[in-house]
Amino acid sequence: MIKEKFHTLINHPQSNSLKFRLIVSALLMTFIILPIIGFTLSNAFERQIVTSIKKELTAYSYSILAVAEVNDGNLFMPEQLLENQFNVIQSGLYAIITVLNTELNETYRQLWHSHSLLSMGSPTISTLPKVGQSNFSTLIIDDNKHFIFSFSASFNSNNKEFPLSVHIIKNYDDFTGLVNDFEQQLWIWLLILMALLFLVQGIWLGWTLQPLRVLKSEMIQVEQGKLAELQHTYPLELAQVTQQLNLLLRTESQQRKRYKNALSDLAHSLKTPLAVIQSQQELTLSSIEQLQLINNIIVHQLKRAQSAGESAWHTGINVKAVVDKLMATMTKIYFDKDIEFHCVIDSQASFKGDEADLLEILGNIIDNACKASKQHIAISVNQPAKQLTISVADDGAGINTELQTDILNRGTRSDTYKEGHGIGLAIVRDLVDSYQGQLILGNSSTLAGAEFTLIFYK
Amino acid sequence: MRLLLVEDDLALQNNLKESLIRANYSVDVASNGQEGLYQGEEYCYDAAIIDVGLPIVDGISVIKSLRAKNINYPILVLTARDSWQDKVAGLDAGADDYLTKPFQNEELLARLNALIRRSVGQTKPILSNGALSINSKNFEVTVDNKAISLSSSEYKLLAYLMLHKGDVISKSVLTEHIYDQDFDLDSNVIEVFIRRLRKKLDPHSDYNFIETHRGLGYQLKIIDNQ
Repeated sequence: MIKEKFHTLINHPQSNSLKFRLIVSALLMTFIILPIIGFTLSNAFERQIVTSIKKELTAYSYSILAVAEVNDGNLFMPEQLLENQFNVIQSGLYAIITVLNTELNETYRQLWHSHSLLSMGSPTISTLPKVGQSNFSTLIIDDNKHFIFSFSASFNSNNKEFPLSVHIIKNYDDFTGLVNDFEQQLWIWLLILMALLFLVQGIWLGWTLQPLRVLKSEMIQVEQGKLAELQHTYPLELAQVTQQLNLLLRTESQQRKRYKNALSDLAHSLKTPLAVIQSQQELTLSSIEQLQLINNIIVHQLKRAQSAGESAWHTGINVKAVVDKLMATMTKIYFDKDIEFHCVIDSQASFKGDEADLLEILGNIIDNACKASKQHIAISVNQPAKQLTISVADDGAGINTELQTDILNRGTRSDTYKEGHGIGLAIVRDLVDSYQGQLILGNSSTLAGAEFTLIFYK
Repeated sequence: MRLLLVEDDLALQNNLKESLIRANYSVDVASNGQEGLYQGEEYCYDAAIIDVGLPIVDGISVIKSLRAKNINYPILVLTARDSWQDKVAGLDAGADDYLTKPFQNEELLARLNALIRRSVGQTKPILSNGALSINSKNFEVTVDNKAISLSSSEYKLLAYLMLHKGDVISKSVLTEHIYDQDFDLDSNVIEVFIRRLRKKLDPHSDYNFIETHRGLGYQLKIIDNQ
């Protein structure tokens, strides 16, 4: 049961963090190990005290035996004992001498007791050690706990054995006082130590985890496109990882750039001769058609090849900046239309991908909207949890359902495209697919024209 | 209208130049960015057609340099790089429109025509001034709805005056805008063309479309359309 609970706790996603592990070990150290140390110490101290009390009582028993005299089967004790505590009533230190009652088995007869025991209830001694042996235990007198040390010795009086037992009884109060004092001190200091350790561990935890926190925040900034690479100086253990990460970020973007440039040069060198052919006067309609087809294939295949697609190494691109650039461009291109853009854009929204791809996707969609619209275009960009939604609506004629499915279902082979503007949307669809996004076509509820909605998941 | 065409592919440059001349433009050509930039700064053009991928200085830099020097004639960018990133970069640098290669000549001419009209605040392809009207698409000139046949040079002169109607335009400006740099002529030729234009447009001196301002130049008077 506990094992299961432990397992569920360990396997909980939150517990799979360095912070969690460090906190658990710190708490374990502070609140379990320290108390155990405390208990061990106080236990050892108690034993130590008990041992020293036993020694003390042993010494007393010898001193009593030293002054005891046996004559004719009678015990003689001095009026006053050397140790004054035995003389003072209820001093806490008492002595009793008993003799084994040989007639009545297992019982004893009290021969003498110290003055200190006067006016106190007579104790019942349960065990009597054999001659030459001692016994150390506790007993209750008047509801109070006492230590008792018993020692049996045999006196020889007139060649007759006279076995006596000396019992030294000591009040428990001294012991409890000492132990309580010690424990109080011990726990006060342990608590102070715990608080101190807790504080130190808190600081240490913060200090140790700080590079990880910085790394996390820098990674977020890289993802959002605010940083091109990790800039902080990281501790040795992390430095190798972060250096590799930087290298990867750098080479990835360089490679992408090189690749793009190469493809772009290829497009350039293929299309200029096409332009030469097309600029000739005596072209037949069918050869113009074929030229258009070749051009479409080049455009489409090269663009597809250039698309960076979904990758973990993309830094975020601010969508608003891209939309702003495109609106400025469209305003120039469609100058005569005097298009009004109505924008509702979350300025924080970011696209996790390549800027050229986003420009291509939005460029084609907004360009289509400009072609279709009479005057108004609405662009909205928002970023609810874990997704990015961009929608572009126009006040044109709208797209009929047949064409909508046609656009969405068209095959991926570029030579199956019909001539004309279709290629722009086909490229958009391919690019959106490569980012695992969604392209939804519909009619705008506010502007009455077509509405293109893009959804990218994060 | 005098144009600057900067294109490094000589075959394309030649074909384009031919069709532009057929469309009544005077065309200066340059084959690289440096040359294009020099000509673009030196002469007063009505529009420029600049290829993006040029040797020595690329097209985008040429446009940026021209715009930085406050040279404001419209610029049409030709590009084989047809990604929106390139289009945005071109227009952002200061171009006014773009055309991706390959393109049809008609498309180029239509865009160019629109750009030039837009640069002087005209939006319609048919410019009219009272009884006189010219169609910049098919180069048709009419007076009182009667078609008038003009030579290429006469059309260029009239079109320029129409685009800048109301302005007094000096002979040297007219020469600059109507002939390309290889054309060597003295300013008397303009006077000859003006005289011929007047004769063809207004044989009976009913309208007096073109006024002469002595020592200053010529002006196409603004006449209300009815």
